[in-house]
Amino acid sequence: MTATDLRTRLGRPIDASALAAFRIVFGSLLLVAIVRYAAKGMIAQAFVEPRLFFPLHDWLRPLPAPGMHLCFLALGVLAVMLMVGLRARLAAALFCLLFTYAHFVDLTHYLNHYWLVTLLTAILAVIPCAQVWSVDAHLARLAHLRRGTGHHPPPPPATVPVWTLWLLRFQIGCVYLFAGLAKLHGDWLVRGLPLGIWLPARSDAAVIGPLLTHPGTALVMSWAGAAFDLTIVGWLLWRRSRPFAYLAVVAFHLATVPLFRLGMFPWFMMAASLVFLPPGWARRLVRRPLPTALPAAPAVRPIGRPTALALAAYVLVQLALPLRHLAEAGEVRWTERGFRFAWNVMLMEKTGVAELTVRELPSGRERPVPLREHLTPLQVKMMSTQPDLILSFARALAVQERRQGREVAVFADVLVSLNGRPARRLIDPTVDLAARDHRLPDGWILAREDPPESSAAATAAGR
Amino acid sequence: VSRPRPPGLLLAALLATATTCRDSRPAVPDAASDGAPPADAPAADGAAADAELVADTPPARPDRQQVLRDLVQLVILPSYAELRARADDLALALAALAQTADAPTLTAARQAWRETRTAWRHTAAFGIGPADDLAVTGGIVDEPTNGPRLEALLATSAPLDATALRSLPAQVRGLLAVEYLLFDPALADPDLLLRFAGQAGQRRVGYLALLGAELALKLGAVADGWGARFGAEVVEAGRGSTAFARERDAYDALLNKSLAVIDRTIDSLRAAAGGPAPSTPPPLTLRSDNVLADLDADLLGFEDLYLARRGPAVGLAVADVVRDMNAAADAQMRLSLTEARAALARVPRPVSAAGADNPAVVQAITALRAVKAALATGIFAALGASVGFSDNDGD
Repeated sequence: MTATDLRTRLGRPIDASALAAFRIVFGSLLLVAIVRYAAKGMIAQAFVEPRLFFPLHDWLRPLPAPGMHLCFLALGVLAVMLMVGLRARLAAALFCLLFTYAHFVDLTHYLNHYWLVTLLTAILAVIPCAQVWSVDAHLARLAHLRRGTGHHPPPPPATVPVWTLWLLRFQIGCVYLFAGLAKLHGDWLVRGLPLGIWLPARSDAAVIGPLLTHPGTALVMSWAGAAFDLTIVGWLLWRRSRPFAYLAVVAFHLATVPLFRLGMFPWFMMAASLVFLPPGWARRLVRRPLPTALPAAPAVRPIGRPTALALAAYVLVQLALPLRHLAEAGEVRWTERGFRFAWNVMLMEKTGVAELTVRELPSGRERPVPLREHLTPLQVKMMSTQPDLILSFARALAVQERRQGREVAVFADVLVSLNGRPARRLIDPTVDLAARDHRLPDGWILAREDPPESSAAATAAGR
Repeated sequence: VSRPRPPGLLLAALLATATTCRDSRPAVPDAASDGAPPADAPAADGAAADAELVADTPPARPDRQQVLRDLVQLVILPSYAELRARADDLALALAALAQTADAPTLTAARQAWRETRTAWRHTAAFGIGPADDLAVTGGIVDEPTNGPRLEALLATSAPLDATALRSLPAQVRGLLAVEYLLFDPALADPDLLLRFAGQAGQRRVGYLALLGAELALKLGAVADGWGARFGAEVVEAGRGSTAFARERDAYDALLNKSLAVIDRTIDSLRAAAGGPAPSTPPPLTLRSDNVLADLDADLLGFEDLYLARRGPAVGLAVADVVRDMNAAADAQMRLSLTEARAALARVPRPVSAAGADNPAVVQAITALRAVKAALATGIFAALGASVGFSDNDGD
């Protein structure tokens, strides 16, 4: 197949209702997520109460009050616009920008499905997602009918090029595939961890509670989860297995709802997986045939070279991001270098305790840093296991001290337990973190070295 | 199918049977129990007879609801009952001091105060629910006293009664206000008693009596809160509890409270020894030189929570769940607790004179940090608990 053939295939028109249905369902979920976030008081918790933040880049700062509340209000409005298809692409673009900004202001709140929302809204901003079943399309049709064909551009066709749907499928497929690949390690497959820790903690679950405490359950569920993640995209793409596969998607994600605190993640994935259904599924569901009175769909023609190149670049980036940890030294679950934006979903139970010490220079006088005076409990929890956040905090402390006329060195003694193993030092406690660059591991992150008995201890957790 | 088994396997089977018997006992001794096994517990002979059978099935995991039940009934409720009794004794002792301020009543009041203080700090590790609801934890009982403000209050002629007392700031009431008035390291006892003489002295001891009555009321309310409702909320966590939607939430709450208490012991010892203190200083009983007793009670309370132990009574414990998940984490926790209490005992008194660089203080702080690390890593990891409260979703 030549490049032109491929571009021609990608330009093949399909029923636009598949994208419209995805837009409506996804927009609805975004609205629910925003309302839920606000109703639980999480805007204040995340953006108003903290004194310090862990931004992706130093120049990112939360808006002063009530700026972040207004930001989320705007997100709610944009979600509605996306849902009803009013200036849908603009709404998706603005949602993407605002949501990503809010998400990146403090990495202690990083979640995989937040990153997924960023990517999906970015895609919706560039694909024609409101050709049908949208206010935009309705207004265009009305204008066209009212003014006649000579005075107004024709309404959008009821078709979209197939690459738009495949781009969404690719993105959702990445989530499952890389989540599955990330599970291919001894803890998950041999020791049944971290499910061996999490499931017994849900012994209170109705009916299945006793089963969750059974020693073999975690291992069975670990294998089932990995198999699901690794193969579900294939099952969804194969026409014969597709209906059953989608039912499995629903069952799988519904099963996680009562077991784990996953918020909107299962619902997003159930909605997102709709893109694997045949393009006309939604139209058949609502029994509305393709409109015949509208102008015919454009003839098949190859997608433009710039579009093809942009698609290829996007695909390459999305394939490279989850794999970038392979270029880093150390185990990704321990160092967390390359951990984010890589679909490491529900992968580990990591607990830690961090104690930071400030040493005044040149006197050498040391004082412990009371973390709770600088950080919220959630920030303390998340920072205590993530080296880059610890480094970021140490540097922020040094800046604070410098503003008060003191030069300091900052040291961290951090003990971390990964999947129930005995705690190990995460960071070299003799290194002045204030003088380090977070982009370079540079030896300040210690390798995880388990004594021989620790694997047995960890196995006991999974039994 | 029966086949010969190596001795090690048989021993494991016996142990498994013992665990099974323990885990499945139907009744929990009530608060007044001496910890004797229930009458209907399976006999040891029966357990041995079942050993062959059990060897083919994995041992049952400790019942986490039973752990909560034992914790509430064997440890928490009796601890609060003890606290109520000690607070009542303190109220009586302070009333007696108000009647006759002399050396014996002063000594009795001080002793009653120390016992109440110890009983109070013993509950710190599980001081969730009613203690927080009644705004007792951070105020009323444990707020550091503002001496000049208290003296200014006593120097006025404003009426002091129960109603007036409740409108006063937490800095002039609570256990530390009682300490302020009963202890003064700068004065010999006869000189201190002189402060209780005359009209001004009567106002002073009268205020002490008011404080005692108020504390008895407040601490009794906490005990009532646990007994009437909150204890059941914890036991039924994840099974209809309105306070804890999931069982894990109750574990989270208790363990996070314990972690905060261990954190406080580190801050307290460091600050009491003259080292750096957080901007919100921990409550320190320096006037009575009771700091080390406070910290030991904190640790003992946590140890009792962890081991489901109170006196001779021992129940199914958090420690059993941890050991089942990760024996090394349990061993580390027990060892660090033992070492921390021993290290605290070696700190010279008064701790304020020891200095933050004193080797015994440094060792004790190191030992307390080891307890914190064992809790925040091993125990939390074994239980799948969250370090720090969060409504944040995870994926």
